[in-house]
Amino acid sequence: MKTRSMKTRTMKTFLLLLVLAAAALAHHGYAAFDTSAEVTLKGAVTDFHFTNPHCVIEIDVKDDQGNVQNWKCELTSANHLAPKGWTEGSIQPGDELAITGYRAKNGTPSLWVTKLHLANGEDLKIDTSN
Amino acid sequence: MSLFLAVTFAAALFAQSNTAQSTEQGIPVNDALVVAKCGACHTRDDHGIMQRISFERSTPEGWQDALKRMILLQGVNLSPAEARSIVKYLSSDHGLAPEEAKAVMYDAERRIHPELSKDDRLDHACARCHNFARALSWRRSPDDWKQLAASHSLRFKLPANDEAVAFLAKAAPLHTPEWDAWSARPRTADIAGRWLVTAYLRGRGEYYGEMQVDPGADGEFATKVRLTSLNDGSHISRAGRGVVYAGYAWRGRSQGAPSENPAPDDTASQAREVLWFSPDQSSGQGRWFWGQYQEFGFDVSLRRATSDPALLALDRTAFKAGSQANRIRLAGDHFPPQATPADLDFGPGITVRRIVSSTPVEITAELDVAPDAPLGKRDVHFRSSTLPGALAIYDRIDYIKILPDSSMAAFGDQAHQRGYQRFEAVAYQRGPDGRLHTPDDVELGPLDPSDLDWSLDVFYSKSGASTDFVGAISPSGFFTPAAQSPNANFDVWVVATSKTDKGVNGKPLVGKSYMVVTVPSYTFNGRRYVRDLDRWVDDGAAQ
Repeated sequence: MKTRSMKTRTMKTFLLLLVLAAAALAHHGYAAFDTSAEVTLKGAVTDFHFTNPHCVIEIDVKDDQGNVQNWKCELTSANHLAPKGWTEGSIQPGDELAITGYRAKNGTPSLWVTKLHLANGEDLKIDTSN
Repeated sequence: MSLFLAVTFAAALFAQSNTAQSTEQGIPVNDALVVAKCGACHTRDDHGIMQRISFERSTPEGWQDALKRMILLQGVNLSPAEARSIVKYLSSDHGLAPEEAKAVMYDAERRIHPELSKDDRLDHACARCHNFARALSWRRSPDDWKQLAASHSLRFKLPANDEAVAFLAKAAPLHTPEWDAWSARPRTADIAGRWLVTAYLRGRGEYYGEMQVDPGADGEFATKVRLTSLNDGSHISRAGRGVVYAGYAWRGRSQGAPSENPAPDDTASQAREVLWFSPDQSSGQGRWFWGQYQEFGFDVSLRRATSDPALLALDRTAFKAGSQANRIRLAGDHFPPQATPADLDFGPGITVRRIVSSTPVEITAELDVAPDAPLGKRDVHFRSSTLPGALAIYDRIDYIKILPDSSMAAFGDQAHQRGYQRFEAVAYQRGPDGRLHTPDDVELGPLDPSDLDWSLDVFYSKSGASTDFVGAISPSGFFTPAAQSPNANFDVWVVATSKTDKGVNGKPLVGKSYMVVTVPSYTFNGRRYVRDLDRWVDDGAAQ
């Protein structure tokens, strides 16, 4: 089990209802992710959680051997995304996505999303603040 | 200069400076106790206009906070009875109109409520430390908003934010049509009598019954409540008392008969009551809540009892199209001794086969639902009494949502009790647009906990790793955090998997809720922070 620092996690909690407050208070929720390199995943959405303190997209990603692994891809809060036009129905199960971001340092299939592309090439507007 | 002195100096300065405020008509203060206790700093002119106070309006909680601040920072000396009297006067004569208060009731009801950004300028100002509702629980003149911002800047070392002040002055002005209309009306609370009650407690379902309200001493009311569970027929009796502020804002306390070894969500728990009565005092709604973080609570609706039959609630919220011989119980008041199928109307495609049983407060009926019955929500009628959108007809469950979909729980420590969470899985059917999680989806009601497997999944954990260190979730969806704080917060999925319902992909339906299990307090940069409802509150210098 990898845990984050007290400061990181308490500040992340603070995000639950505050919109930009956490960013202003130097929330560093990237600590669990390797920000030195981005990776891109492609797959079909299995679930989308439009919630606070983070929205999460679950996608099935097939590796080179054909094995399917379910990844959890974190975005900022619903409070942040809603003003950009996002709703809980913005991403549907079965949607094909290409998601770029930082993967978890501990090797679990988790990603912090930095870019989000629909199958038609359209980029979804996201907010990368944590 | 110490922070205390700086704030004290600033407050006194602002209180004595009303040059700018004189440009807007203030609200006279005519209460002798307020004048006596507040007049030393807030001077009053010949028209009864007191500095600051005449240019502000707020809820009972807003004025209570203001009074606490005056006691702590200005050394105002008040007995509890005097404080209650002042809060009652100010929240009535310098209060919010019912329509204004309704928009921010979730704050007084202690609900974790998603607040989408009202305005970026507020994000950088008010929302740094508290929810928007706290700011919008006040109405002030433009100059009073300026003075509030100035005192905040000084006290909390915040940069000036003229845009936030301009926004608030426009969004929450001292004078509004709602307040003008409400303040011109007699605002005597006349809520004595018998009320019909429905109360929903997550995880335990719907209750129905009655509340008797009797006038007591000093403007208080005494209450007696008797409720019956639509799930299991169990009864709840509670007694309490409370006060109605401003003619519509009920604040009270109640308790049931204590039991041995009560569960944290015991329905007899002592609860705070916050209710909003409609301006015509024919109905009310709100929350009775308890728990270390007010995490437990009945969602309550009231309506005045009359001599006419009244339909209050149903024990079923959805039926499948084409289903036969469905039993449904209808709860109400003054049902006739011999109800007949003709008394009931469930809308097109539903036939009442027979009345199984009937009492003055409950009817059990048997229904057939036609295969082509229209899908979606429908009203249910007993004679002229209607429950809007009370029943849904569906063809399949498309997804389940776990409520609350975002929540917090808390480890315990020596000073703080644990913060629990009760979860519930609610079924949904897609709406006419065919997409999931869109506004036209149809809520079908909570699933039976016995049809679900509950589990936890800690973020970034290896598959199959133990979750015992964060706590445990019961077969009915009740989360109990671990007894000892691990000195870190954890993000956790609360997962409910259906034992019977499958999605279009043939896999069992799964719902997930995002829960953060937090420490109850922590120290950072020499300050101690304690968790409140949904945020951390600076509790002063760490010892």
